[in-house]
Amino acid sequence: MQRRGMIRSHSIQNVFVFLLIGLFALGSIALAISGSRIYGQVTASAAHNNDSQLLLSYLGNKLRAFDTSDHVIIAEQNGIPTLRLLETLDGTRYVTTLYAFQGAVWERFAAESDGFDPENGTRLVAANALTFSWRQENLMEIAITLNDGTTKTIRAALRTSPGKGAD
Amino acid sequence: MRNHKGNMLLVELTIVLLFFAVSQAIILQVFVKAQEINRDATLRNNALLKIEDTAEMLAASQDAATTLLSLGFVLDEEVYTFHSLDGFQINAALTRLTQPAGVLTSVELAAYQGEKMLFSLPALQYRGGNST
Repeated sequence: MQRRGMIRSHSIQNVFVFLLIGLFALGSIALAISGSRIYGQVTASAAHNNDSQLLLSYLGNKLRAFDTSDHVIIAEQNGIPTLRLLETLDGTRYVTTLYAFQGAVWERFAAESDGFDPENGTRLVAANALTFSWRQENLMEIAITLNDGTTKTIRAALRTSPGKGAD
Repeated sequence: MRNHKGNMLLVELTIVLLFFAVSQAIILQVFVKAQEINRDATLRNNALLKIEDTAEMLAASQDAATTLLSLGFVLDEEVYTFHSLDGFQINAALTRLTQPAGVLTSVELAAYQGEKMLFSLPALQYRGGNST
């Protein structure tokens, strides 16, 4: 009778130990799942914020740098909406072209006489689309669609008038 | 003797699992904090974009008050306020200095998260003549 009681108490202890271990295992799994989910969210969001901020700041500063009369042109080349920033160096006209191509924003610096080849540029930041438009005579609107589908729009007030070929 | 040994094992296990449970709780708190920081960073990013956009719009506009209203700001006790769905608020305090040479409009744009001010950005607009 006593032996029977001891066996019963022993099996209860075993069940309790397994329950505790099971609880710990469940907690660990839940923590790992929620941790990886939060880590994924944080990194995706940080990348999204960085990409959008970097791109918008870069475009804004580029515009400021070329903000002289007739040096900022919005044009469509090879079916791609582009921003053309013109400058003259040693008597030669050069153009810096900014555009979205193959899931990224690209920058291309070339002589104005050279034909536009979208693949012959520098890849800057991942983005699906980049469009430019004149909201007013000297107010440019830049819309960027990032790879996650969100669209960010900024406007930049130019001190000078837009160049020929503007929308 | 055997029963005593079993109890000891149980106590040891419970202590170890308690230690791990406390560690899990701490780690979970860190994750929640990381998520909060991330949410704040996104909010600041969006607020910064909105405030920069507003400043650019004001620079290109003819009339600051009309521009602010067109951007979704609401006039509330002499301060234009914009409430974003993201959880931030932008206040625009407008002052006009009229001189014979023209009108200088200065707009102090300030972004808030609740009561906490995130940052502020001054925007100036000068119009020659006596235009408003």
